[in-house]
Amino acid sequence: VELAMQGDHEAFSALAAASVDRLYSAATLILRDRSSADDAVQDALVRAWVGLPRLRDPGRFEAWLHRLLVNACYDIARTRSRRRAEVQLLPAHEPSVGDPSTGVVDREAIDRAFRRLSVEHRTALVLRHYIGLSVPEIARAMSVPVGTGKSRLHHAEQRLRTAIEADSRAGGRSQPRDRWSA
Amino acid sequence: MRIDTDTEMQAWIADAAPREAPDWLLESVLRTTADLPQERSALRGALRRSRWLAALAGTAVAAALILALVVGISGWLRNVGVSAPPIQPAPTRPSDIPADGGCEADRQCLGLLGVGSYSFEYFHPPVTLRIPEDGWQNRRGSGGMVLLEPLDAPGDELLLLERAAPRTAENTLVPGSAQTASALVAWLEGRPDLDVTPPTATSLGALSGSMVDVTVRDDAPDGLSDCPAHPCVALARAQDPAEMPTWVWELTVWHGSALRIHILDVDGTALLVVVRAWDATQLDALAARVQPILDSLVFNR
Repeated sequence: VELAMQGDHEAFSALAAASVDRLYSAATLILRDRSSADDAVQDALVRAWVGLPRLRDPGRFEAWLHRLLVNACYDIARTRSRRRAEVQLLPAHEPSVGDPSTGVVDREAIDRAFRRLSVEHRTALVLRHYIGLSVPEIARAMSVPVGTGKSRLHHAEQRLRTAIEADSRAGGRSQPRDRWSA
Repeated sequence: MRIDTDTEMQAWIADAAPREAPDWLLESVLRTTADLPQERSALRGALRRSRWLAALAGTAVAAALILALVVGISGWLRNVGVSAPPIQPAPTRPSDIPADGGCEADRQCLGLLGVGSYSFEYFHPPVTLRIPEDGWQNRRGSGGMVLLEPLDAPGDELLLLERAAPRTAENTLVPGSAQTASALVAWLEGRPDLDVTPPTATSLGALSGSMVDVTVRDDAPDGLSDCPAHPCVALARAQDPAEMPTWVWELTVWHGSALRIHILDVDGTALLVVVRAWDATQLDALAARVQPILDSLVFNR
């Protein structure tokens, strides 16, 4: 990190190579769109290179990179939603909500519920459950006070549960049946 | 049904998260950054070298801040009462819209549209239209909207939107508003932040209603902060009426663009056929171009 801070591009290449897969996975989960995730990761890494000399503590590089990624995801989510009349929707799935008798939630039900969350709530869940950050680390990555980060994670988990339960009650009948013929 | 969030989330993430980024992504980042200068603070370097310089720099920064404050306040005092929101020039057309007919990620679509007829059965009511010439694409197909884009004019759009309901400039609900076509027309006409042409009668695909051109006024308060240009305001929104909604669309207009909106009545709901010209000066030309498509619309009720 210190070499990259001094302008060593090879050192930055090694840092970027070590981070890119994880950043891409996180951005894809947050944005639910791979092409948007491409843009977010590129934006975060380019900003990282440009801003590295201003990083005060090399030991904070990872946390700083997470914050850059979160900011990039927010920017892209906002741009995406305002460029035009925008549809946000779930992909067509066959109904599948797991077996209530076992209490095991089907992963497709989680996927459907996850897509219904706001980008901020998805971010909190991804930072916690994919990146593995603590609440204070999540708060820093999301540029919010620790209390806000804690409540955002709590609400995200609560809304996820609620959405899954509602999905279960609906028996998966909310799936779009989009078909067309040319 | 219960969910053990930690366990289930991690299991789902293991399935849902892509394992690797595409190779070109890292290559692109490294290519971009190879010749890109880093931001270096000469002031910080000096601060590291000398406590004396640090004190001097601190004094200079404080003086600069005071000067900026004085200049800023005097400027504000000169302008107070007569200032308008800053108007940005019309944005350049987007350069990131693919023209290869590929579907947006995680979407299904028709792709490039050759001459022929196409049906959109997920739309309510299902609609058929005819493309009279090559040069159009459909990169997404689902959920309350049909979107057609001309390949040679990125940012221009022909949109069919179902179940439109009025929204405030800030994209909040309009309390008590009816969601009929006539109510939506009246709502748009009454908006002080929009320039709306007088409604004219229109009929498309055997649906009747009104047509208006809409642009945002230069002095409109900015309703939305994250648009291609400003001022930018919301017009309408709709959500899947199903018990478990699966889609939402939102329609906005920003400085420099223009919309020609056919607001059609469908059993007490408003269906919008929107021609969006990225460059407002091109609205008539775009409308003439899409007219054969509009003339071909058939709503299957």
